[in-house]
Amino acid sequence: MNISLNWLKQYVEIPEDLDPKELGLKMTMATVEVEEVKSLGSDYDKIVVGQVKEIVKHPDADKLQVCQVDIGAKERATIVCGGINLEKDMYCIVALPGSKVRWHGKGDLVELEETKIRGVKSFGMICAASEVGLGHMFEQGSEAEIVDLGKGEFKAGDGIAKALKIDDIVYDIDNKSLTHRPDLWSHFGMAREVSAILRKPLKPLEIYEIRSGSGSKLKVDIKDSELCPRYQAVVISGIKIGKSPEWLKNYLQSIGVKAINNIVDITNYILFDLGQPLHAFDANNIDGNKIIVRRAEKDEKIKTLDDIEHKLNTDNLVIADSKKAIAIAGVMGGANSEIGDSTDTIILESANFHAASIRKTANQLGMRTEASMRFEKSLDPELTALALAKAAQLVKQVCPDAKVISKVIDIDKSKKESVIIKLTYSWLLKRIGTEIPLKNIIEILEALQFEIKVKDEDIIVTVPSWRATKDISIPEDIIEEVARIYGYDLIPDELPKIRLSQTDIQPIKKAEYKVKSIMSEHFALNEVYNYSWQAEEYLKAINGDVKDCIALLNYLSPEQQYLRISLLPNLLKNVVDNLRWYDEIDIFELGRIFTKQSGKKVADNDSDKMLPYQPRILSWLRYNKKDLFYEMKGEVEYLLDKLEINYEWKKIAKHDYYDISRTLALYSQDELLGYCGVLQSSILKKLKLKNIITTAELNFTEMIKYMSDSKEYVQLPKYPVVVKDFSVILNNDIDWQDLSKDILSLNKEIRSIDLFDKYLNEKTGEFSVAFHIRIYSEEKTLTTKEIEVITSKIMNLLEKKYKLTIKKQ
Amino acid sequence: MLDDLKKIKLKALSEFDKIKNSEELENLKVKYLGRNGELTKLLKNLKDIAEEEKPKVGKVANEIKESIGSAIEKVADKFDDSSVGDIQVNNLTLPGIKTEKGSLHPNTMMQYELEQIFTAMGFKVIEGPDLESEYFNFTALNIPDNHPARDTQDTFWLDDGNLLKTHTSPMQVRAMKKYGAPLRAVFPGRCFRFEATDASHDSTFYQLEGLMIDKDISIANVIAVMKELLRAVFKRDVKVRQRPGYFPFVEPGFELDINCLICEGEGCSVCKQSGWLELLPCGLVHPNVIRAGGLDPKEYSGFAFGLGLTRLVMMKYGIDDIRLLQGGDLRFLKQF
Repeated sequence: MNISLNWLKQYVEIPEDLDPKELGLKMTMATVEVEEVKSLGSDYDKIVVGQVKEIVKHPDADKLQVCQVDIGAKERATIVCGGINLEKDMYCIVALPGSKVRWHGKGDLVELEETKIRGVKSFGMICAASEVGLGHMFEQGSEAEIVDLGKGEFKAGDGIAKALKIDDIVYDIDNKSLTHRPDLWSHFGMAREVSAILRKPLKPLEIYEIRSGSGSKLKVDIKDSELCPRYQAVVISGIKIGKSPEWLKNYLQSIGVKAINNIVDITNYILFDLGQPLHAFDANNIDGNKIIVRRAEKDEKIKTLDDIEHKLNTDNLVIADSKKAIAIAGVMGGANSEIGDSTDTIILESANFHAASIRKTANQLGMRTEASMRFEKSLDPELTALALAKAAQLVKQVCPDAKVISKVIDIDKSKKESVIIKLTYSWLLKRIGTEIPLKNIIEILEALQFEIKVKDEDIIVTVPSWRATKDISIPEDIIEEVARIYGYDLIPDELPKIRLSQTDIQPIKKAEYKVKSIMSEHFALNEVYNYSWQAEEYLKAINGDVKDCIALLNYLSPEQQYLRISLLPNLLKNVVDNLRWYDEIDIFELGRIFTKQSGKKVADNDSDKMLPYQPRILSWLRYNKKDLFYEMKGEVEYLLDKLEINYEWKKIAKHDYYDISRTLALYSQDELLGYCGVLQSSILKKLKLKNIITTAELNFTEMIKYMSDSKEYVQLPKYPVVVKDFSVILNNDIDWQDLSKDILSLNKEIRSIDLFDKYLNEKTGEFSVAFHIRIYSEEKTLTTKEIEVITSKIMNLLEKKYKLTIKKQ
Repeated sequence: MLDDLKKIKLKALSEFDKIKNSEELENLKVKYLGRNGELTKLLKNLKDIAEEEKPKVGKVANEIKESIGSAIEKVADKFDDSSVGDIQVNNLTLPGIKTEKGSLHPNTMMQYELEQIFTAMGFKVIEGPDLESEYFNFTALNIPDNHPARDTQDTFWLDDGNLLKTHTSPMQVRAMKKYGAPLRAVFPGRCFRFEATDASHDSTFYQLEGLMIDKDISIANVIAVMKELLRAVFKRDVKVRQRPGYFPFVEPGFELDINCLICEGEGCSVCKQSGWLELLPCGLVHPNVIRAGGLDPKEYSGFAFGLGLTRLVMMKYGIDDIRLLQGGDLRFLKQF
């Protein structure tokens, strides 16, 4: 929102020596965020009022004249000019050397230099409106027409911005920072705030009164007073549509609003002046002399002022006559009752609408207008009368024949009770955290126009109507009012005093630190962060189905449409994207996936509705010429050992994307935690990948449950340890996990089994493994005999139970 | 005899000096100390010399044998097996053998650093769900249906009626419900906004929210803790200013700006000439939020703040395009 300094000055005395930037900073520090302080006059540097004193034909050009121009300096300036409307003694706009103009009103700004035109020196130029960006103020017939300022009331040499009263300062205020302040969406409202910040008196608003007239029998019928708590209107005849006076156009232009015609400009002016949106209907287009405020019918249509037709529903409030909707309440007027050149009688509406309903309608129709933006903040219903009276007064001022021909219709169902807040002085100080004398607190609140009563410890605050609609309702709101005007920067810091207690780090957090460190440092993987959705193409690549995905209702690109159900599709995309630069890729990600199952987190207050299950998954992937199954299996095992999780591997019979002959499933206490394996070659083919992808996926959220911290020291062997090596030809059907368990349970002196070699004889196809078995007793040195007994038990198990051939050492 | 021995010694040592590789060394060893080596042969003659000279000559002979032996050892050390025949390898300025290395995402590193700071200050670190309900993302945070503040957070809505969390604030309520008061906790997490992407905006980014609930928490406390935090993050004193900011879940609410670190407050393009960077929205927790967390706002008060984690990451590493963070480009990721 733009706020004009000149406009503010109508309502509050701003010290002349206060730098406008400083005022902007004060507003930022106490109230709203000023994003920029723009000086409108700065575009007109070195552009001044000149008076043409003498005109002589250019000796060497038919269309040019040589003028002697008074520019307020001792000497007159000689300026060559082609203006067709040059006249002696006229005031004009002179751009001096060093100023910036737009040649013939086109292209970029160019800095002017002193120059010779066809042999005659010219000190600057006499400008056309479009050359100095004043097209909105001066009509220009042809390109060769210069601005004619007439013959009186100017002073040669004055800066043009000052002379034309366009030397305003404009504050660009971030709308987000006043979402909660319906009272600040206007110059008067902002002036009220500035008056409190500067502690300068606010000039009281002139109160106008509308004298009821007769002639119109307009009636207003409110069908839904919840959505329209107050509706005021008057009928004014004798309107002559035309241009607005300069002062009005200037104010609107300073804040970037285009002037349209006198009536529309007045309603706009009031909107930015007082913050109350008004609407003027052409009374001649209203059927039945009746205004009805009602909910729209289902599929009711209306074409708005911007010429767009909208289809409405029963949630939308409309202003209607006896036959048709003539406006979408609080959003935009209808084309059917628009003010036009021939309008002579208007109905001026000043109403208050239900904030949430307006917001909903504006959002639904995609029409965020200046009006709807204000209504949705909860406007003060008291404002309608003030605004209507001032508007009627302005209409009379602009159209001398205008006459109110109706009563002031006022249907007021708005709540009238004041908001009163009680708090104690000591509580207020405790929350702010510093001593502020009571006197100062009262002064601040009164400057903001709160009424204060102090009774013993209590401070009783009556909130002014414009702050009472939503903004201020609880004692905490009063804290903010006091603290911000007092100055947050004046509150000394004080670290909170706390009761000493231990900080416990969540087990899942500890696990995360450990896992990411192992992944990046030990396994030398690169961590990636992917989006929480996946492109359908990559989901399909792993034979996934979008039916299993939670879908987004709104998205900006197609790949945002489905939430990810696995980290793999995005990791595959990472591989494809990086192939241009790398031929081996080793990456990992720890992130959430989103399922349609119900999870364990509540979705609502005190209800049993649950959010979907969205576990964190740990995935890593290696793209390599080699099948890295055993390497990756080793990594999973290392990781689980580090987290002290007991696990078991199981073969799988079927999978959407893993090659089941090279994949195992991981279980802990019979819960499936994930997989480790090689992707099916058909998937690689689909993605045109030449090498092999080995990957592991673990459900991090569930895995953590099985973490333990039970490591215990095992006594070092007191007696000799015997290591026996075995080498067997292994059958693929044999589960190594079962085999080692069986060996260990043969005898308590068998302590461990460590595989140390795998060998595939390519000629015979025989696959053999070799392993160490460590044997020792805690009680004594085992005799050769005892060891032989144990060894033969092992051999017996291998040969008899598992039918394995033991190779000679 | 003694002269012969001395001659052999000199000859041998000078030859050992010239050795270039272990093969030559082996040859020389054989030449002097081998079964038919020069020194061996000479020593064989020892038995022929006069008995009284024997000890003297013997002693000298042994000394020579030893000094040749130690010369051999020295040279042999030089020609360790691995360096056979390759003089280049002795250029120690060549790079060492590369240890394979992986990398953590820069966001992870920044997040962990902050988590450590907060853990040291006695805060729990808790993460919330990414897919959140309308109740926790808005309603419980004092942003009722059709509240204009909902507009400021363009939301990704899901077909099951839920949404992708637009901020980390929902965890304020979830944490209060779970842990009660007093409570100190931070909630790092992924946030989502339905908005067009460019170099400084992405649909996905990270925040780190903080919450402290206790008796009699004041504005003075918030400011002090925020300054302490910034000192820890930037490892120096940072000039800050606090000004009003509107967030429905705090009352009062502030924006904490820091003196621009690029221009030291002089005004530059990064701070849009203002000298200040908006970094840390914070405030006293709104009583409605404390109530939603199942606590009594008459008994407890607290403060909350939201750190733009992604923004800090970009500031720290000078990353000029936010899209790199989620882009999976290994040329970028391997730099960390």
